[in-house]
Parts: sequence; C-alpha cells; structure tokens
Amino acid sequence: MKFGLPISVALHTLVVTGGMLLWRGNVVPVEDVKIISLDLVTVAALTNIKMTRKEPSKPQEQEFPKEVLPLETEVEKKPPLKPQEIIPEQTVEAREPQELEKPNDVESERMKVESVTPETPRFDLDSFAKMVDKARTDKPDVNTRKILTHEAERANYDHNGAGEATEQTVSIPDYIRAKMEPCWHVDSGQKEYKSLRVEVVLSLSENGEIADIHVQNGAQIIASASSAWRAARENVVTALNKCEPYDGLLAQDYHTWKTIKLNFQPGDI
Amino acid sequence: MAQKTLKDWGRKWGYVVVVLFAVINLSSPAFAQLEIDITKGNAKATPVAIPDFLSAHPQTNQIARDMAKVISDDLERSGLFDVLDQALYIEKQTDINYQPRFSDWRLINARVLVSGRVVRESADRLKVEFRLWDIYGGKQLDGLRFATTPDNWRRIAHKISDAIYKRITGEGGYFDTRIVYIAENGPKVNRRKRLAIMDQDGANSQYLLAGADLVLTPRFSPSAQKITYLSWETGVSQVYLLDIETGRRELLGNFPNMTLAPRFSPDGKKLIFSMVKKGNSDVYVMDLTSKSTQRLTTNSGIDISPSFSPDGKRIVFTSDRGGSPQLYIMAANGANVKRISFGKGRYTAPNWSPRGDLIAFTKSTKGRFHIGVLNAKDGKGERLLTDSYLDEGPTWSPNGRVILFTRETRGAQGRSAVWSVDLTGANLRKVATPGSASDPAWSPILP
Repeated sequence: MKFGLPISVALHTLVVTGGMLLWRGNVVPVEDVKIISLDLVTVAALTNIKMTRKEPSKPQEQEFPKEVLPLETEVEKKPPLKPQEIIPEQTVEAREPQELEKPNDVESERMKVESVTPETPRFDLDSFAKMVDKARTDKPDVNTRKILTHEAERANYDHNGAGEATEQTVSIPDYIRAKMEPCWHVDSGQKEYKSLRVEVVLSLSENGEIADIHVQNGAQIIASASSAWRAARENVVTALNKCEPYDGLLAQDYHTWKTIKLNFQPGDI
Repeated sequence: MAQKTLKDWGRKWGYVVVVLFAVINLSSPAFAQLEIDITKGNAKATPVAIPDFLSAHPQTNQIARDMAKVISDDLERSGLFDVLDQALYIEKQTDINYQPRFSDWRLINARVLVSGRVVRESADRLKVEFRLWDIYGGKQLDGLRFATTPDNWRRIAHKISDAIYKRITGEGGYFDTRIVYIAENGPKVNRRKRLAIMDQDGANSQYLLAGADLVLTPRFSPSAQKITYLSWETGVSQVYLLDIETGRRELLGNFPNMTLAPRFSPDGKKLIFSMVKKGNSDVYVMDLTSKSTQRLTTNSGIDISPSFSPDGKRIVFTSDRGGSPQLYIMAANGANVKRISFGKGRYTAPNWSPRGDLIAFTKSTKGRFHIGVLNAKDGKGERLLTDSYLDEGPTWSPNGRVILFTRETRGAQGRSAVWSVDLTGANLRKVATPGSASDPAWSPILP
C-alpha cells in the first residue's frame, strides 16, 4: 500500500472535478434585480385633522336673542360673535383641488429627491444610479413606480376628508358612544345587569337637541316584574337628557342622524 | 250575473291595489334607520342633592336637619350615591309643594333632589313628608308622608332612604335594618364576647346579654324578632333562641354533643346547624314547632356551616369530603349532593344571597383570607372581593347587595371590626361600632 494515499487523492480529485463539469443541476440564470425606488413623503398634511365645525344653522340661532328678551341689551353690548369665522365652507371648497393635485405634488417631490447627490458618498452611488437608470430603460415594467403612484393615489383617496383644512371624520356611532359613556350610569351590582336591554329611538332637531325619546321596549319593561329593568330604563332616559345637546354631528348628515335607534345593553364594566 | 260582475270588479281592484303597493314600495328608496349598540357606561355614584328638611316649629328644626343628615349618610354609605355639598345649592326651597327650579339643580350636576319637611302635629306626633325629583326628567319620582313619635325620627329617615334607594336603583333598600354582632372587649387571649345589636348605621347599639358566657354566630330569624346563637353556657356549645322584644331565651335541643353554626330557614320554621357526633360533624335540620331533628348528611367528612337558599329548596355547606374544605350544594332533604367550588385554598362559611344568584364565602389561600362570591347555579364566576390578614363570616344585606364580614388585624394586640363591601368589590368600609366587633348578621327589613 505504498501508493495508497496518492491513488486515493487522485481518485477523489477526479470524481470531484468530473462532477463539477458534468452536473449542472437546475441552475437558472439570475433575473435582473428588481429595484424599487422609494420616495420620502411627509404625511403631516394627511394626519393634521382639525376639529369638526358644524355648518352654521342658519337664521334660527341668529334670532335666538329675541326670545331671551331680558338679555337683549347685554348681548348687544358685547362684541358681535362673528359666526362666519367658524364656517368651514371655504375650507371645504378648497379641499377638492388640493386632493386631486396631490399625486402630482408627490411626483415632483420624488424627482427632486432623485436629483440630489450627496457630497461624500460612502459607497459607489454612481454605479447604483446607473443600475437604476438601466433598469428603468431596459425594463420599465420592473420598476414599481406605477404601483407606488397608484398606492399614493389610493392613500389620498382613502384620506379624503382628512388633512389640512378639512373636517374631522369621526363616525356618528363613535360620536354617540363617546358622548353616552360619561352620561349613562350602569349599576353592575344589579342582578343579571347585562340582560337589562333598553331600546330607544332618539329623534333630534337640526341643532342636536332632543325632539323625542321613544323607548321601544317600554311596554315590555313596564309589564316586567323586574324593577331593576325599570330603573335601567330611567337611567337611559336620564343619560340621553343629560348628554343633550348632540351638537358634534355634521349638519350635512342630518338626514342620517335625525332619528337614531340606540340599543343600551351593558357589557363588562 | 251581478255576482260575476262584483267578482270581476273585486279582482280588478285587487290587481290595482297589488300594483300600487308594488310601485310604491319599489319606487321609494330603502329606509334604513341608523342603529347603534351602546355597551359602555359608567359606574359612578348618582349625584343627589339633599337640602335640610323644612320645619316651621322650633322644636322640630333640629330633627329636620338631622333627618337630612341621616338620609345623606345612608345614601353616601351605600356607595351608589354622591350627596352633593349643601354649599353648592343655588335654590333655597321654602315649600316642598312647588316644583323646584330644575335648571338650578342641573347646574350643580344633581340628578335627583330630595326635598322634605317636618311638621309638628302635637307634642308627641310628627308628620314627615318628602318628595323625590328627577332633575333631568323634570318630574316627581316619588312622594311619601309618615306620621310618628318624635323619638322615632331616625327610623323614618331610614325609611325615606329606603324609598329613595328603591326608586333610583330598582332594588329594595337596606337602611331600616339592624345588625346583631359580638361585641368584644379585652386582650386577644382573654377576650370577653357579648351579644349586641345596633342599627345598620351603628346608632342605638345595645347589649342583648350580660356577657357571662361565650357566645358566637348570632343569626336573625326572617321576622327580625328572634335571634339564634351559640353559647357555652352549659359547658358545650349549644343552640339558643332569643326573643329580642321579650328577652326570653330558649335552649334548643339540649344535645349532648357540640352544635355549631345555626341558621333559620327562609320561612323561619326550621333551624339548620351542624353537630359533632363521635368526632364526625354532619348537617342537621330541626323543626322549631315539633323540635324534631333530621340528619341530612351522612358522609365521614366534616360537614359544617349550612345555609338555605332563599326559596328553601337547597342548602349550601362546607365539607372536606374531597380532601380540603370546599362548598357543596344539596337538596333540602339532603339528596343530590354536588360540589360547586373547585379552586385552590379552603372555602368556608358559605352564605346564600337573598337574591338567590350568588353564594358568599370565606376563602383562605397562601396565608391570606378573602371574602368572595360565586354563582349559586353552577359555582362559576368566582370573584374575591377582599384580601387581608383575616376576613371571615360573610352576611348579606336583605337586598343581597352588600356583604358584612369580620376583619381582624394581626398580632397580640390585633382588633376585630365589622366591615362592609359591595358585591361588586367596591365601597369597602368599616362599620361604626362602639368597640371591637365580630360575627355580624344582618336583619331583614324591619316590619
């Protein structure tokens, strides 16, 4: 076995080399790397939501002092309230063109970013820029710019109503729930308090004052032997009266909140 | 022929009606009313305004002020009401027969107003009237008139508190009630224990027995006229019956063995207790008319602290038959025994709520004691309401809302006191007693 080691080395070398030459496996050429260009866009304009301002309810409020005659002179002495200052009409009108033009603004901002060259590059940015340009030239579809633009458009569409000089977009259910929580007293010590459901149809005037409260299951409650249920009914009516007026709702949606059905049923306290 | 014509006309008009109905329904837009589920409220106390009651006679002026104070204290102590400071009141009523200025009371955020007056009809007769106003609803909720002797004004005040509580919460009140308890004096190792009674607010406390013998576990009869308790008067613990009105005492049974933890049945005709025989404790029931006794449990474990359900059909008790003290329920005749507590620790002194939905108990685990409640139906929903060095012996208010219990502090100089807690776990507070106190039991509403 004098030549054992050299023979073994030769055979191993032969097998490994032959294998590398003959076996190719499923090697697939690497496709061009998809390069995604990113734009830095501030979202402050989208998230800066200002308070809801009700549209002025027209002459009724202006004529209010007529009923409060004793205060009339006092009201006159004070500087006029200038309700026009809180009218959001102008801002509402101005919103539409801004919203529509935003994608273009974004595009121009993006282009500005691309043209800027850092003074002291820490890596070979030139070759990276060439790769980007080459990719855009050779395969424009690979670049996801269109998708990003589309996403940006969609984001703006979704945020319609939000942003600088636009109105708050709180929903009516959220507003009513938030309004009722501090007013509605729930006694979690009552027997089976979670079953004490009170259904109410609340009718509101345009300025958010209560026009009518109708307890839909009132007859059932009165006929019930549960005095706790009757107390729950009174708690609900008291809460509705206590929370009045409901003046945080948009006047333009009055047809929606003119009458609301409210189902009061305690959850976990 | 005429019939046929009528039929044709009827058919034609029928078609017309159907077509019109369809046209109207299809042409009008769908009507969808906005519907909102509201599940979150607040558990804050109800703000209530209670001005001093009006009085036109110098001899009733003080009573009028005191009545308003007693009512305020009652409601405040319940934890469900927040009595507003009188200094905030804008309107000063001079007559309770006129509607208050609701806007003035809304300004200070009062939800209800209690206005009342005391009228002296004669030297030994008072007339007390009150009205309860809904400030936001702008209407009277309740109005009552009482006639009584001047020295009974506190009870009238408690009755007014009960009426207000019931009208606002829907549950019966518990203010016109008494508490029987063990008044304690002396050091822990040689403490003198006497049977005592007081109003639920701590007023009118008095001893019922001289205090020569050790007494424990007093319990009211449903009529609130009698008390059953344990006494070592004969050398072993025996069950006694005491008539509060006459002071007459009666030894029940005179058993040769130790008897423990007696309680009345809801109808007051039976007494349930546990008795030790040959080292084994079992639950027994005694008919108070015939004095006959029936054994209800036959297990070799220790069965103690029985308590009837409010309908008298079931009994909850403590047993260690499963290895550690746990709560069990059985039918009133001793059948269908079923375990309902499964938590870690020791469950003792169960007490069925007068409402029937909950069972209060004492639980000890990891060196701490707790008063807790669980659902009587299935033993689920366990909630521990208190936590201390030693809390024990829960007893319910007659409306099943508040629990009284004994809390003892640690050490040789440790003192015991009666505490109360709402079944929600809120409003934990010490009950005013003349000295140290333990083993409270709440009376039903007084007749």
